[in-house]
Formats: sequence, C-alpha cells, structure tokens
Amino acid sequence: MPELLSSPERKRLVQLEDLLEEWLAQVHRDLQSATEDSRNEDGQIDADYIDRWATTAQRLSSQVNKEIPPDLDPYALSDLRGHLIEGLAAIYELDESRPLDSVDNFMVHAEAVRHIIRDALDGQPDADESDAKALVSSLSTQLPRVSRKELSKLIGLSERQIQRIAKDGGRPSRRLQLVSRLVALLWRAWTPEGVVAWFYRERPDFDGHAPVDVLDDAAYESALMLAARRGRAQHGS
Amino acid sequence: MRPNSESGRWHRTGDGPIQYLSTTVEGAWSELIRAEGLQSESEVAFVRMPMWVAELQIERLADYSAFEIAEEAGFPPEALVDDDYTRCQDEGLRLRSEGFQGVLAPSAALSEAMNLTIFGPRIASTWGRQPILVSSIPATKIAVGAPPEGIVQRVRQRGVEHEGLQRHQAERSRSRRRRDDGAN
Repeated sequence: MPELLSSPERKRLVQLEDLLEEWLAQVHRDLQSATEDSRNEDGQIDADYIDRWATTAQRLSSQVNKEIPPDLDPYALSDLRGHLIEGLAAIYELDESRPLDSVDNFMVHAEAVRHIIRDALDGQPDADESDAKALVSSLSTQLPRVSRKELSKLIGLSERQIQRIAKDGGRPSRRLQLVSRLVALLWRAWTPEGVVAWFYRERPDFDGHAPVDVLDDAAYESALMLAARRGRAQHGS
Repeated sequence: MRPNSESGRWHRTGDGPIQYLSTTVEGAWSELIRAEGLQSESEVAFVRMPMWVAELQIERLADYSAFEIAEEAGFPPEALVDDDYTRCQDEGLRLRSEGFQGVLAPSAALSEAMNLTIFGPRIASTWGRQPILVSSIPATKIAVGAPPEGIVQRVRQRGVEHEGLQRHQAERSRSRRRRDDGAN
C-alpha cells in the first residue's frame, strides 16, 4: 500500500481542493458576466477580462505547484504536474482570436488537478495509520451502528483483542490498515450497514469471492481499492 | 477529466475521459444496482449516493437508441447490451476517431432506459445558465439517498437476457418469416 499522507499534508490538500473548486466556480460565474456584459460587436469576449483571467490562472498554478505535498503518490504527483504544465501551455499559447478555447483548455486541466487531489484524499483514514487505537476509533466513528462483533470480523481480530487495542493501542495489522482505507472510501456512498454489507457481497471481479475473503491476500489489495472507488463512479454497464 | 483507470462499456483503460449518464433517474439507479450486483431491496436501501442532473448540448451524437437503429447502422444490436464490452469498446474508439462527441444507446441494466455516453472532458458549471465553454455542462445535485423501492426487481443482472433485445430479435424473426411466407 502507498504511504498515507500526514495530517498537515491532508489538511493542505483539502485547502488546495477547496481553492481549485472555488476558483473554477468563480471563473464560470465571471465568464457568464463577461459574456453577458462585455461582448463587443464581433461577439468577442473582453480582452481585459482574458488578461485578468490569465494572471489569476498562472497564480493558481504556481500556488498548487508550491503547496502540493511532496509525499503524494509519485504517479499522482507526476500526473498532477503534467496537467499544470499543459494548463500553463494553454495560457502561453493563447490564440487571441479564440481566447475561450484557451480558457476551456486550462479549466479542463485545473479540474483534472482537482480530481487528482480528491482521489488522493479519498481512501485516507482520518487517523494515524501506525496507531491501531486511532484506526479502531476512527472506524467506530465512521460506522456508528456497526457492532464490535461485526467490526472484529472485518478486522480479523477477536472482540477481546479489539477491546485491548481500544484501551492500550499498539501496532496495527496490515488488514486493519486496509479495512480503514476501504471504509474511508466506502462510507460516503453507503450507510454504515451498507459498508459492512459491501465486504460480504461476492464479486465477479474477485473470481466470485467476497472482499472479506481476500482481505488477507496482498494480491487483491489494489483491486479492493479500485472496487471501493468504483461504487462512487458513474456507471454505464 | 483524466484518462480512465478502468475500462467500461464504451472505453478501455487509458482511453480519454468519458462520462456515463442516463436519460432518466431510474436508469441511473439501475446502472448502479447492476454494477454493484445488488439483488434485494434491503441491499439497495444501504445506498447513500448523490443523484445529479445535467443539461447537455451535443453536436455529433451516434444514435444507437434502439436496437433496430443500431442494426440499420451496421452495428450488431446484441453488442449494445452484451456483458462482453469488446465490440462496444472498439466502436467507441471508432466513433471518437471520427469526431463523434457521444453515443446514445439502450441501457444494459434496465430494458426501457437509455444511456448517454459522452466522450471528452467535461466540467460541471452553474445549473440554469447557458454554458460558455465547450467543456461546461450545467449540472446540479438533486438528491442524496438510495434508489426507490421496486427498481431492483426490474434491473437486469449480469448473465441474464435483455428483454428489449429479446423483443427486437423476436420481431426480427417474425418479419423474416412474413417476408419468407410472402416470397413463397
């Protein structure tokens, strides 16, 4: 499993995601106003507006580049920087006769960056992954109506062992870490009971096994994460 | 926004961005139910998902909205709802390369529903306002919750025959018989 981000890194990513989301929404609002108020007789958008947009877009790219945590998954980091570069290229290669094409191009890359950040944040338990007590506590919070017995089956420990962890802490098992990451993905799309049910539903992509049956098999780790993410995606089967 | 990390009906892993939409709320819920393999009302009641509505303006759309239309266009109708996506993925690639922006096709999950698949990146913009950018889709979240009761029994699960396709094939057979009888 890739390393988890630290709490300050997660906080920084949340702030960056909020920043991007608000900036994208603001550009859409501004574009509406600019086209309604300032279109000249040729149907062109106001050049001053485009200049101001380009300045803020460059500033945004620079801020994201500076503030992105270096410990982000290397693939995600490289993907993110690629989009920043392509977004900047859209600004530098701005065609004055078709400025909205450049705006559109940059916006697509900015939204891609936001998605990468969102993906990095999803699947991050809101707890220190090296602390079994914190992970168990986080699971109990995210799955409020799930009994300790059900939780113990998921984690692969006895109820007594869970009680001991909740009291004394200790090093978490790999299974506890994996279940915590999966629950962090699942709880937004399912009720607490639905999260538990997800683990017991047999899936064709796991050769007919249920997720709970393959939690201890490292070969299924990334497939489990993908399946948990898939539940939240658009579907067209 | 980004190339897909997983394959789907009209795309393979790594193909460009794609959006899968349904033309009805029931259709969208049915796709989720089929994709997750939910079989009962109690399983469906565990869903807590947002439902979005989007307004689209698409210039070049491949119309496979009925099995007979696909067949007339030279695309095998059974492929539209086949559990093996290969032929649709090949067609998706061809449609993209020819400049199509999307495809309208029957839902494999619900016989009477229709799916709209859009090729290329899209960004949600303000609902109720005319989009300014090519990538903009006015969209808004209308609810968060579970599919309504009664849908799950109507959803076509994997490995099950598609009623709409069966009706189309039966009609084709009848037409062929009528034609043959007329010729004799």
